[in-house]
Amino acid sequence: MLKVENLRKSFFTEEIETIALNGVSFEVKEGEFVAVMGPSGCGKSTLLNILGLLDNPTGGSYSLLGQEVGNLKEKDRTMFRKGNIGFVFQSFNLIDELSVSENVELPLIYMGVKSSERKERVAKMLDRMNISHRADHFPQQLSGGQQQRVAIARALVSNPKLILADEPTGNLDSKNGLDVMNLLQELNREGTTIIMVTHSQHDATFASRTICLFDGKIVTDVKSRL
Amino acid sequence: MYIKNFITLLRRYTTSSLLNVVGMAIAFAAIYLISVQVNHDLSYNRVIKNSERIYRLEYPNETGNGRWDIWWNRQFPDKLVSICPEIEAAGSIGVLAHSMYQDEYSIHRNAIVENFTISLAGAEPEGLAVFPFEIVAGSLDDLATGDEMIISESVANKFNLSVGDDLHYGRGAMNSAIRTIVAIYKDFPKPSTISMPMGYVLLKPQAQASESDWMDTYYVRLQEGADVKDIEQRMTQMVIDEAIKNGTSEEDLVEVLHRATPRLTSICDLYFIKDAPTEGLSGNRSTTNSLIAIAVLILVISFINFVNFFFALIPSRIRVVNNYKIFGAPTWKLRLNFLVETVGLILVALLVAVIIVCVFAETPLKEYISTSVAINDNWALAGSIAGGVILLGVIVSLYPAWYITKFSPAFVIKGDFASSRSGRILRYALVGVQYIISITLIICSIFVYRQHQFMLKRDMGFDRENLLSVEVPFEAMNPDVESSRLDYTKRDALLDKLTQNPQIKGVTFGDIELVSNAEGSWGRPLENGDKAIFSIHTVSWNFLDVMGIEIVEGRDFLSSDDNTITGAMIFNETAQKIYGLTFETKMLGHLYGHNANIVGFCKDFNFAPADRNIEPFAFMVCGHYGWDMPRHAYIRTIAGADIAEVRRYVFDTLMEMAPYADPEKIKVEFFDKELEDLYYLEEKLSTLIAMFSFLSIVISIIGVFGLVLFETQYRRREIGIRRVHGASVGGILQMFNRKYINIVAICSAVAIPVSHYIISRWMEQYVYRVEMSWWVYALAVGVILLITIITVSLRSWSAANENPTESIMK
Repeated sequence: MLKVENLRKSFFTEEIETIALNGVSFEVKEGEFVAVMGPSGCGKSTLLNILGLLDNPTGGSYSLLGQEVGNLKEKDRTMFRKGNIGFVFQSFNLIDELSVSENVELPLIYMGVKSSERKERVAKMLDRMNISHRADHFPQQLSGGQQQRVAIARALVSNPKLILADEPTGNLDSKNGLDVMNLLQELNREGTTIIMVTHSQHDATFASRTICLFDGKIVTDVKSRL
Repeated sequence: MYIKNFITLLRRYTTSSLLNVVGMAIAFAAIYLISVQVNHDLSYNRVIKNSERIYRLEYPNETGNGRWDIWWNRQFPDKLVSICPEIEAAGSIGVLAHSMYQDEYSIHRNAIVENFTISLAGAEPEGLAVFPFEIVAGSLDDLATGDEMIISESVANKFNLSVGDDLHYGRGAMNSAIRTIVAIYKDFPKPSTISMPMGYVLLKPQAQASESDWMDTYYVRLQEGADVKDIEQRMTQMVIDEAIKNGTSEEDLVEVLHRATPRLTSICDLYFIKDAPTEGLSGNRSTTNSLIAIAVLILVISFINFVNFFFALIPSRIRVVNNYKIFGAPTWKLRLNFLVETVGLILVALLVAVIIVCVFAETPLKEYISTSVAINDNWALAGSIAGGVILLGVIVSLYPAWYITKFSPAFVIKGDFASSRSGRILRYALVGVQYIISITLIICSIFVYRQHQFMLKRDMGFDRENLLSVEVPFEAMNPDVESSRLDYTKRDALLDKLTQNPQIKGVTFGDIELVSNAEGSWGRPLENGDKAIFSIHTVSWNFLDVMGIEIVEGRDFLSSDDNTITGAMIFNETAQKIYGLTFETKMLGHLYGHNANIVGFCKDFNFAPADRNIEPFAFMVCGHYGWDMPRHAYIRTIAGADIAEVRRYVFDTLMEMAPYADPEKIKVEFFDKELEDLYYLEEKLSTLIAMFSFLSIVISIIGVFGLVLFETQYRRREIGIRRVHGASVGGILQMFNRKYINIVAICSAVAIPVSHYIISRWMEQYVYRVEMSWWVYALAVGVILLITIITVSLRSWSAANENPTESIMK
């Protein structure tokens, strides 16, 4: 599915270089559920951004679905993301002005899917997430758990090959958090590859593999016994 | 504390404060400039004491074209006013200087001759009594003959003149005659017509005035409370009674009434009058009204920006307000703080506006304002505007100040004001109003400009190419010794001399400009009892040939027509058709007792401005007898002539023929310049509307730019999310543009019919109108659309290109 080798990422602020990732290498196979852990500032989110083609690495290589994508231009990264990668964020990142169904429909619009097909796929996805009854509501009218389910629906509606989740339960209470993790695990069992950044040891137990980062380097890469 | 808060506002919200100040400063400067012009227009003549009781006496133009004449033979108005006891003063007085009173004067002091120009008008003592002359030296009673004069105080000071000074004047041969200054009067306030002459001489006594002289304007001053309509009716009745007494049949009385009903026009209305000759400055009511409307619209646009910026900042500022509230600040204090902010912003904008006005006063554009735009000269007006906009600003900011402070702190902590739907709709609606105003102004300004160009360039029925004009000095055309017969010797010598230049194809002369509003009119009885009424233009014999006016029947004038007693006349087709004129028609010519000698008919052409249709018209070569020699010269050059050289040659020739002429007055201009002068008011309107439309667009676009700025700021996260889910930069630009394009589309649907209505009404004043082309509307919408797309795209480009991870994570 994806392979990174000697991945490096530096940020420059006022002539000071901050190294976020320092020679990270690993491979994720199709169908894996990988948890990325580590303390704040260790480079988890930076790694996720690079894996999600939201950012380019400073050095090293990144191959996704058999194609080198580490140095793609912004326009090409956008094209590659469409239909291949789905995102789930800690703060849900739903668009307040759009209804639940419009939020879910968003990636399909940018993929150029026809309107009738979009409606059909959105309806199915909302149904699957058990939030069909909230289709016409706006994000502010939903609970945190419901909002995250909408965000997952949006991530999945384009049938991506890879889901990237950044602290998906960070803003949820324990019950809603558990629901979300169960949902992600179910998706993984159905074949979706998931990479999840988390602080939570509990959430990491849902993954089949856990990578620990420290100071921009992988310190452990362990397969779960599950 | 309030000042400190205001400075914090400027620092914290620099962009919005800057945009607000720039928008308001432009608006205030524009409003000031418009107000200076409007104040000038509306106060014209009203600055004269008792102006509301002073009237000009007028009578209908004989041609029945709906216009009114003002040049009287003094015997008639004297009779009319004699039956109206409520007229407390009445008499002939000119408010325009006339060359017949001479303007080249000199004074001999200590064997040194000082020369200067004093433009004088004529009046009879009764006419002077109508206006409130305030004598500062000498006495009006001493103005007893044509050898005395009175001058204004400013002229006396300028040339160091005093009562008792003898001024020498005279035509050509060296200042033989003398006029004595008998009184100096305080200058009349401006703007006013009576303030224009530099002094007065006495008109010939009435007893010496010829019955055929119709050349004096007549003014009356009424008692307070006098009924103008009643006076007009009594005068009309007198005209009827006189007509009956003179044997006019009852059926002809209708015509008498139609053509001889006197009218009193207040001097307060003279500036805007359109159906009678103007004296002094004139304006156009529609221009003044348009300017007032534009000023109001600009004010609306600028305050819309103010309100929009305020509401756009609410999501960010409400948290600060909330913090103040939590720590105990009373609501009224917070509201007062916002009002102080408003006043502060307006004061800064006013300061910037002063700078803009000062810069404007140094540009050629200031010529389009009829009076000084310097703030020193308009303190009261500037102060009123400053006070007015501050008051208005406070009123406008009351609602936003109330709104931002009305929420409870708890609600504010929870709520997200950036996404307030009603707030957004309000902002877009206000921007919509700005768009409607801007599109309407653009459409109107394009049509006004096109109409102006159309009037200048349309085919008028004669050849306008390679044509120059110049007013020839009196001495260059007329013999040194006055004669009862017209002597063409000097004219022919001038003609010969001018046409010796190989670049000059022909030279001809008319009494006034060929296209004007001031042509003379004649009424002449016909054999069948009808009366032919037509405009008359006295010309030299080669006029039609040089001007390229086609003869459709009969012959052109011949040089031998100069040597006839009755002269010769050529009528236009319209006169021929309306009155059934033939070469045998018996009609009185310019010499009573002699029939007109009709020698031809010419093709119709436009001798009047575009607001008048083609009417009956005649050219006349006077023959032996006439009045002033036609001195308005038209010079046809060869194609590709060196115009500068021709101008120099004409000037030198005229100065050679009239060495005492004022060189400043010899202006050799293109014919098109004559037309431009004729349509000066249209040009002024066109320029002013275009200028202020441009400003309104700038202010509107500042508002749009500000809104997009805030919107992209508040929607950074949304843009990031969309980018993450596959939106391209182009897609984001499209998203922002689509909204504004929709607003422009909706506003165009409102602005187009509104502007069509306005411009159709405005066009009604012209007989010859430019076509109401659809592309003008499309162009206006296109311009606004283009500016909007550029503004929105420029601003949203940076937001769309931001790394989405940064905006999402914030």
